This record gives sequence, C-alpha cells and structure tokens, in this order.
Amino acid sequence: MVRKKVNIPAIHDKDLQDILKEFNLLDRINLGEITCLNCSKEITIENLGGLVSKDGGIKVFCDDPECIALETPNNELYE
Amino acid sequence: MNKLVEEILKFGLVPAILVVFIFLIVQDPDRAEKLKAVITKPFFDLFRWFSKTRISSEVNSSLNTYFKSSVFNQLIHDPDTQFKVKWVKNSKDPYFKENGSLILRLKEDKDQTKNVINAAKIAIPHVVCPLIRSHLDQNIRSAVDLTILQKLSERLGRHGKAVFKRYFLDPEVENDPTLSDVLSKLVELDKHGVYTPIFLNELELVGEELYANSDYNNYSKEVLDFTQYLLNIVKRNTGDEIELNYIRSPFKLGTILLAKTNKAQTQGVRPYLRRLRMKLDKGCDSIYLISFPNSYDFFNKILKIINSHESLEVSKVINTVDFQPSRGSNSQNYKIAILSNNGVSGSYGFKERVNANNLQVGDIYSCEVEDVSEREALVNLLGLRAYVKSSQSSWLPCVTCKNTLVVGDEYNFKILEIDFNTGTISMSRRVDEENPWLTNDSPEVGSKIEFKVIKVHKGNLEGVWNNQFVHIPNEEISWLGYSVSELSQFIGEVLDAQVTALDEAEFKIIGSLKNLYEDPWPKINELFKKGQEFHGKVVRVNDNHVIVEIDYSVVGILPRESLEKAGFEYANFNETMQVGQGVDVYISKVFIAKKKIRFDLTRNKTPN
Repeated sequence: MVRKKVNIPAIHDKDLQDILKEFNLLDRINLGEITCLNCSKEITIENLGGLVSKDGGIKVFCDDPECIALETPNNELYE
Repeated sequence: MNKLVEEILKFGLVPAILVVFIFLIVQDPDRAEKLKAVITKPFFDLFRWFSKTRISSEVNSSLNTYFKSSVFNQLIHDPDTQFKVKWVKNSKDPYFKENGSLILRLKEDKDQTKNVINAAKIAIPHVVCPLIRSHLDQNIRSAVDLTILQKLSERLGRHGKAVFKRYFLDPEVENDPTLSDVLSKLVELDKHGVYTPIFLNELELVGEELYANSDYNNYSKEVLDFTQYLLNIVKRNTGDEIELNYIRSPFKLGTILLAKTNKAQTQGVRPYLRRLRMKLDKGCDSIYLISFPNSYDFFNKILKIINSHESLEVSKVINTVDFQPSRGSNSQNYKIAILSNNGVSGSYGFKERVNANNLQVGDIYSCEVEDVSEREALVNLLGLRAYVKSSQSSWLPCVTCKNTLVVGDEYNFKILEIDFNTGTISMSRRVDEENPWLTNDSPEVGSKIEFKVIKVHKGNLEGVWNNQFVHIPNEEISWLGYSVSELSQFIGEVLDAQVTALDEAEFKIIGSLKNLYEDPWPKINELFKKGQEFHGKVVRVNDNHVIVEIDYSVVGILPRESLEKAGFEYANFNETMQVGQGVDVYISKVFIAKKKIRFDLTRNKTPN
C-alpha cells in the first residue's frame, strides 16, 4: 500500500542566502529593514525562521514558534 | 529457513548482510531514513559533510517513527502518512508560487532537536484533526499541538524535553494563561492515556461532521467542556463503574467502563448491550468501551458480539497506558474500543427485521448460543439478539443456563415475547417436543428412584431423574432434620427416594427420602429416657442453642437458657464452644411429635 506523503518544504542554510538574494531580501535583512510578518521583530540571518509566499510576494517570519504556528494552517503539504 | 541462510552465506558475509538490510528496509521504509541518519552523523559532526541528507534523514525518521507509533496507530482514521523534508533550492521552486506556502528554515546545527520539533509543529495541523481547527481559538489549537509536541520531546530524551521547554513551550505559554490552563488539562488527559484515543479521535469525528454540514461556528467552549468531561472520567476512583453519555453539540459520545468482573460473570453481556443500545437511542455516534486487564476476556467477548450487532461496529481497539492511576502501580495498561454507530437506527431496524423474518411468539427456531451467564444466555436469532432466562433454559427448573447451554452450540428455542419498545426478544428452551415429561417414562407413585441432586432450594432438595425434575420437600428429607448448610453436602450425589406424587401441571416428581427408612422416633423415645446422661459432642453452635450429638448419631438441642444457667464458663457459649468439643448432657425432654430431643447440661441437674 502506498503511504500518503506530507512534504515539509525547507530551506537549508547553504541555500538560504542565495534564495534571499534572488528575492532581493538579503541586503534588506542585513540593513535591518525586514521585520517578522507576525510579531514585527527585526529579522536577522540568525533569527530567520522561514519564508512564506503571500499576496504575490515573499514574507519572512522569525524563529519564534508562535510565529511559525500562525502561518502553518495556510499551507497544503500533502503530495 | 536454515537452508535459506546457508544459501545466502554461500555468497559471503557482506552480501548476506546487504540482503538483511534490504529485507529490513523493504519491510519498513522508515528504516532507510534511520540508517541514513546513523551513517551520515559522524561525517556531519566532524566535517559538515552530507549536511542536507543528515538533517532530512534525522527529521524524517524522528517524525515518522513518533507519529506512526504514538499518534496514527491510535486514530480511528489512520492517515498512514510519511513525512518528508523537501529541500527548496532556489527562488524558482513551485512552492514560492503557491499563495500561503510556508518554507521552513532548517538550521545546520549539530543538534537536530529544534529542527525536528519545528518540522513536527508545521506538520501536525495537516495530519491531526485538520477539519476542526478552523472552529477553534488559536490557543486551543496551540494546546492540542503542544501536547503532541511534548510527547515527542519526551521521546527525544532529556535534552529534547529541555529544548522543547525553552524554545517551544515557555515562549508560548508565559503570556497566555488560557493556553497554559488548557495545555495542563490536555497533558493530564495524555498522562491518563485518553488524549489520542478519545480526545483527538472525537475532535476528528466532530471535525468531519462539521465539514460535511458546512458548519462554520466556533466550538472552542464546547471543546473545553468536553475536556472537563474526560478529566472527570480519568480522575474517577479505582473500581468505580462509569457510564456516561456526553450529548452536547457537536459532541455525541458515550463511555462505558468495564471494571467489575463478578458482575460480568453473573449477568453476562446483556446489561452492557442494553447500555450500548440506550446510548445509541440517546443519540451517541461513538461509544468508548474501556477495559482494564482483569476484564479483557469479557471485553473481547463483547467485541465479538458487537461485530454481529445490527447498529454498531468496532472502529478501533487501542492499547493505551495510564501513567497516573489513582492508586497502586506506577502505570496501568488498558484498552479502549471505539464503537461507532453504523447509521442503522436500533429500534427501527429491530422492528423491520422482526417483521421481515415474520417472527411470532410461539415460533420455534434453532439458535446459536453466543454468551452464557448464571442468570441468562444470549442467543442469535436470525441475526437478532435474543435472551433466555435461566428458568427458561431447560425443562428442569433446578439448572442454570451455565449447566445446560454451551456457547457456540445450537438448540431449539421458542419465542416467548417480542418487546418492540425495548427491542428485546425473550426465548425459552421449553419446547413441547423436547419435554421429557411427555417423551420419557414417568415413575410409579410409591416406587423407588435413584436421582441426582442438583441444588438445595429453600431447604428442599432438587434434582433430576430420567431428565425429569425431582423435588424433595424439606420435611421429607430426614427423620432427624438437616440444616440448609448440611444439605449442601448432597449436591452432586445420587440418592434413593420414594416417589410420593407426580405433579402433572408443573412436570415434577415429588419424593421422599425418609420414607425409605423406618421412623426411629418411637424407638428413640423407648431408648432415651428423661434424665438419662450422655457424654455428647458439639456438632453446631448457633446464637440460641448448641446442637449436640449423642449415641446412635442422635442429635438434640442444648438451649441457650441451659448454657447461661451453668455459669460464666458458658456465658459466651457461641464464641467459646467449638464444634467437636465434648459436653456432658442429660435428656430434659423428648418431643415425639416434633421429633426433637432437648438436652440440659449435667451440671445443671438437680440432685435427687
């Protein structure tokens, strides 16, 4: 029997900076211009918890578990 | 098997080990992830090699192992899901094009605990109670998830618990007292082993129903009330029998706790089946049948019968553990069976099936016996449950269902009553064609028969001769008289009796034991004169008298008054006198009509 797969999309640290650069976010993060989508905390490379595609753009949230939880239900993970 | 091993080893040890590995991985694909995690760990720790493989295999194997063994296997609808980290490598990845897509950052740390818990946090809402989440406040959703994550962190060891507390638990609960309160209640349910088997399953079922009914209301308060209901159950005192219905929209469930084995043995499955039916009638969609190890046999028996039930089905049987039993050991294993209403209404289905089969009072059917207790038996009448009381289990009123009926065997039964209000059919094994009174020869009045004693009923002996009921009234048992406890020694014995009458209406042979012996009382009166002294032996001590046996096995009564008159030595005779003790008595009176001898103590005798 084939088991259903739940994919957990993830970014590895090695790819993170390249992806941020492609979305023109890296410089803005380094300048302290980007804040968490949910808690408005300033995002750094260290506290970046993940990215979310929203309203045609890419938003960033911090690694506070509550901020991750707020985004979770919008995502379809089943393959 | 040995030959197979020998054949494999012919190719060498390394290929043999590879075959074993392949076999283990094919058997459980999660093992491949575990294997990858183990192999890549040292390279990653030392040189940061295989970083992505190391992280994904650790996350995948931790999540898959935990959810499979501790969550999915306890859910009615096992999602049978495999978690897999999907690396997003550039901005062109399709995930970035889907609105609402979340891409989690998994850090390249040596310690993968945070990554594992983070990934679990993302995955849980998609696999555990996904349909009810939109009906709940955020803090309740978080409490549900944190309870699952807490258990996961416990599996990850002491370090896992510390990481969970510091990075996941404390930040969420410190500013949210409601979340903290709900979480503590859910964790308590989990410690008692009902969180996943009952709480989560109910949320799953309710979520499905709300989705089907396009109901968009918020049910946070109802979920909190339901949590309290379950807490009341798990905080019960040991041994309490709980039967509770919880019919408060959107929840419709019932709980039955099987705890008292003695009740199960005497009353059988019927009281429980009746309760199940009542719960269905009251609108329960699911019923949780809880059993502890001492009731497992009975639990299995009920489940077997429910499998042939017209309105219920066994959805899942879950083995769980109460880590906080109210008393006794540190943990207590138990089982929960989740029974679901299969949609066929009990009373309607009953009437329809009775009519469809044209069942009528007086009809005779061959039915298989499904369960037997002292009081009654459960039989299968064309797929319907029917009951046979002990008094109707045979033409012999002295036997119980357990004496006459064997589970799995078929017998002819007559329908006595069909009650459409309660959905109950009563049957009897007293089928005329099998009445031994009509089919077997009856004895002549005055003749001697050998009958087997089955029981002592109200001081009378009851037994069987030629499959016919024999009744020996108490006054016909002996010339000397027996107590009920003394009569019990005859149970199972074969005794001689003289037939004194035949009761054609009640189908019973009435007999006498004492008629076979000469009345000893005229002789006793002749042999034993008033004032005659004996050294007797105590055979019984009662509150008001002592029974003393003298020569020729003759017994008489030594009354309380005589003992009290004898002074302090016999003042508390019912405590101090022992059976078998010698006692000096004299005959104070012989009552021929009453067939009794009265004694007094020799020391009370007035000197001539």
